[in-house]
Amino acid sequence: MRPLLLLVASVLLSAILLAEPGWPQIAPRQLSRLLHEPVPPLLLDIRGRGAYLAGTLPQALNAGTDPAGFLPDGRGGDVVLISDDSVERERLAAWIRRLTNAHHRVFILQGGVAAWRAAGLPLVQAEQNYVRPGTVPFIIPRGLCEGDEPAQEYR
Amino acid sequence: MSRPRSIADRAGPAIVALALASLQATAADGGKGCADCHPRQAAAFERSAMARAAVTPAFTAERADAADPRRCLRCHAPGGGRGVACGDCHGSGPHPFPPLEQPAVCARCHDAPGENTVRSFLDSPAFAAGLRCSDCHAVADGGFNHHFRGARSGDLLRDAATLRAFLRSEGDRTLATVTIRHRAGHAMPGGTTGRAVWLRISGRDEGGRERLDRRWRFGWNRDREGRWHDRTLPPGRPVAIELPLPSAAGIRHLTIELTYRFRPGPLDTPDPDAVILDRMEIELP
Repeated sequence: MRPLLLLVASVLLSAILLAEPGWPQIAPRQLSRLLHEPVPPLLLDIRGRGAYLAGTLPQALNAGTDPAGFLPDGRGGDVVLISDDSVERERLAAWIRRLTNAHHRVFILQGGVAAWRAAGLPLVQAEQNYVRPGTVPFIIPRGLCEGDEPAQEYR
Repeated sequence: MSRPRSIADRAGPAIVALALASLQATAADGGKGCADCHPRQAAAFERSAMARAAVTPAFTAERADAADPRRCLRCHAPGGGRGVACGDCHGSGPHPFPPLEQPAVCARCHDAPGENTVRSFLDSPAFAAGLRCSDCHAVADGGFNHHFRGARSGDLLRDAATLRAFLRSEGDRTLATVTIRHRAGHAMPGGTTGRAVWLRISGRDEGGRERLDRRWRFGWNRDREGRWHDRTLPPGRPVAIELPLPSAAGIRHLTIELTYRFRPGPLDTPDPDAVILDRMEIELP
């Protein structure tokens, strides 16, 4: 019972802290649906490396904690900030300014990660969002029909 | 009173049997007989890459190197002609042939060793949405068309994959994060092992000197023990790469490029058919 109460309190606190008038928000279920769209929003986790590694949303990327050190690619598009009550309101505002100035349409995940979890949606280990091809030496195949002949080696 | 049977009546079953035998034979014989009644379909298929799968320069070059060249023909020309023929997919049973079961009929070759096109399709949003292989690969002029489109058709690769990127600071380091998302209904690249998608991130300093050149290959890789590893880009979800930029290099300009290659070999090997899927430039402060 107690963990459930703590979870509910955490969701409410996050919802209150992240609910700034004028900041567009997106509900967890709605975001979950958007992730299956052909062009889903870019999910930026701004809670810091520790929290990110402990578990984040599918497709979310670690954007660091410093909006001043963040340089977008300039292509704009929708961005959803993954936050929680550890991110101060001023820092959140700075993130929104930084991304809005770079022509992004910015949304905040309503209730943060706690609300996402409370909605029964999955968190993933951060490494699942990254690939590490080429870290092991491999051979570039010449094609399916090459048999067992060696092709070119690539590091 | 029964009507006397005419010669035509008596010959009818024989004619039908003869015609069916002819269809069966020709369907497995390069589709020549099929074209008599299905000229539009035959003409369209004749333009497809599948119809000449065993005579392309890339295939013949690869096959010349193959340890067991006969294996190649099981998919490239099962009937021994220039490529795939009508009967190879439609079967050699009595005409009319039953409707094809997708994607099972495609899987025989497109899930061959070193290819996971159909398997990855079964785990894709496209499959979940009820799409079939032919919805993307056999459409033209608003309907089903036997001119099967593939990556070589050109228009399928247009806007097929998108790059996103950002830089961020972490302590005294700068990290580049690059994501690749594609809209194919199966793993990219589809097709066999020689094809690959290459991501290249290069960086130049203020004087234009190259200070960074990193490349990643997405496709089928083999390790030194000869085992195949699937490193294709999965459908329906992005993949991301995080790259720390060398701090002493003084990089001021990043170029990120995504290339689809048909020819095997490293990125520098010439490939006249290679397509740049996306490219972006980022100026660092």
